[in-house]
Amino acid sequence: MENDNIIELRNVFMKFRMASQRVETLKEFVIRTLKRQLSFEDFVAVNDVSFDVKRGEVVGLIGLNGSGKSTTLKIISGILKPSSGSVVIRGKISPLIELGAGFDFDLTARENVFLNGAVLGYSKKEMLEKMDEIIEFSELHDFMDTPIKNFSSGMVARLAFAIATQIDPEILIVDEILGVGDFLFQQKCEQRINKMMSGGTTVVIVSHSIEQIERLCDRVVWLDHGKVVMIGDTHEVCAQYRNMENR
Amino acid sequence: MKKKIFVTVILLFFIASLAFSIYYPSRDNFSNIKNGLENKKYSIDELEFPGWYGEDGDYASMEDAQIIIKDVGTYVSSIKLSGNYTGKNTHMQIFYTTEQGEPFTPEKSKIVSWYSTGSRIYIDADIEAYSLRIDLTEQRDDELSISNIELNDRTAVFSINSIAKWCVLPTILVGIILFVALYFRGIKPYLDKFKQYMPLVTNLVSRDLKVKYRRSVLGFLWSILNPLLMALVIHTVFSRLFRFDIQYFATYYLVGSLIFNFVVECTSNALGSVISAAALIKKVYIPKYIFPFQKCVFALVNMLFGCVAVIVVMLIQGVPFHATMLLFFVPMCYAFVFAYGFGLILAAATVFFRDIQHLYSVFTAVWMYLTPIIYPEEMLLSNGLGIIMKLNPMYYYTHYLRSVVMYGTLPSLEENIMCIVFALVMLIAGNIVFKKTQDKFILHI
Repeated sequence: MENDNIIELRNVFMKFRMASQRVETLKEFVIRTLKRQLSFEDFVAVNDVSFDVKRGEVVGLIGLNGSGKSTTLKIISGILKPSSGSVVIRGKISPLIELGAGFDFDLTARENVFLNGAVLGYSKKEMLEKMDEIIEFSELHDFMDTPIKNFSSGMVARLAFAIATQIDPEILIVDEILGVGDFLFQQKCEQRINKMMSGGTTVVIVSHSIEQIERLCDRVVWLDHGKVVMIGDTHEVCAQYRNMENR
Repeated sequence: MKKKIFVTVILLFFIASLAFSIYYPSRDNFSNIKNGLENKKYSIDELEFPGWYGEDGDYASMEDAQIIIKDVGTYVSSIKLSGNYTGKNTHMQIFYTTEQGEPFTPEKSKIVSWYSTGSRIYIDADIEAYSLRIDLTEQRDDELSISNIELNDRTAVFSINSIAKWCVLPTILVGIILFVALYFRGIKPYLDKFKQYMPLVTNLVSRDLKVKYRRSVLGFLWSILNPLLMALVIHTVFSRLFRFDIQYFATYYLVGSLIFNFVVECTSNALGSVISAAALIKKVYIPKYIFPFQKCVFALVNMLFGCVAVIVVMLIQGVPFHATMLLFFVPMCYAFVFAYGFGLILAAATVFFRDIQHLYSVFTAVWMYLTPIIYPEEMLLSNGLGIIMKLNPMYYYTHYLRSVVMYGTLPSLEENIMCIVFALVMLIAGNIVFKKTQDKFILHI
């Protein structure tokens, strides 16, 4: 039976060790063990989160700072392994967690397309086929052979977005990145995401812009202090979320 | 369930082979009986003892003493000297002839390994001979008296060697085969994923190469020039200051250091690979073993440049080229697997304990001096450090490469097995350690 859920999170917990008590060297480890000072305190970033995303759905994650949105995204994209609970992903993911992941700033834009493609698991040949579209979308025609350390942050963002969206992933993960570039490029990004959505791509978005979430998403998950407050239809959840903000 | 089967089978096999190796204690007896080798005994009257002080064979101090055995006429696997022996540092070389009247020449000689039990000395010979001459050389305080000599003896003697050979090695081999058989199907998806990320490996390697050579005028030539200059320095220093009796010393050094430096480069680059890839690991999902693996591939590329330097030095020194040279990649493959496994352990450990990199540089320095690179292999043997040599994987890899490149000899099956066992044990250990810890990496980088 073909399962309709492309992403399944079941009772996911994510615990971090407090940074102040971290032991980084063997020397320190031995000393602290001898002094019996080796105790740890855990911080729970994601607390018993479960939800499903269906194939082709666009799901938004909202919540205040520190509510565990980004951690959840990282768990979905496989960067973090949850401390407990299960995560099932049935498709190829293109994460846009932070722009320029896997870019080497000493290499040219063209070389970075191959590097970034390889980071996402695509061969040089596959990237070569998509090169024209990437250049077209990022509008970097004249700069493809320039080292990207000379790029403005907007140009880097354009290149990164172009690569992440042109490789036709089954799942696109977007974290707060639609705020970069000028408004024309932002519109273009939104159009692109809309096009991908109609083409059947599943999208998970994190954004602080409620308007953007309302425009793009089918369903919304509201997180607070690592716990799910509400899951449901975009307008309902967003309305509730706004109420809380106004209080 | 699989784990239980694995542990039970290995344990049973270990006990069985241990019993076997004690029951058939000396490797010599067993293979001698099995192969039907002729057992020959010689009393001192039938032997010649040139260069001995005192009476023939009876209580002599050993400095350049020889024993000549005529009328051998058989395959000699082992030689047993019975008598009385003190000391352990004697250097033994066997000269042999295959026809009547033929003189003893250095071409037909070999340096042999041996061990003693106080009243007996056992020599591993493995020679088809008409007559034999055993040269025992210079250790001041060693003394030996001989009452008789026996070829291919069949009496039982307990030894560490036989346990190593009949119990430890086979157990490790069976363990590896069983492991692959039990877990092979689980490996398939990993292989697919590995293939998917191969482009990343090539990309990162070419990036590393560009970074390494971008700012130097001579570029890639450095990889060849560097070992060449190093060989020149070593050659000058060692041919003037410390003299070793090694033919083609520069080549000897360069071949040994080529593969040793390769392993050191692999491991010390792999050590920091996960930490320096922190930016990537935090943002994208990538199988993390890719990073140490990529560093090893990078070192492999560098070593191939180094090969050019070796050929240049061989041409300059006029070292004869052998067809076996074409097998140079075999020890390199062994060393690669070994270094990758070791690199996995180091990379994982360094994530949790940053000071490991400092400790490791000390470790590699010690390791280098314990490996015969700038001194002859016999030096360890004759100083009673043979056990260190036998436990040092780098000894096998350097020795293997020298055999095929310099001496035109094919290493025995036993040497190959030792190389493979070291490599696979390291690979499996590395994978276990890495897999157990990799999910926690991101919390520490």
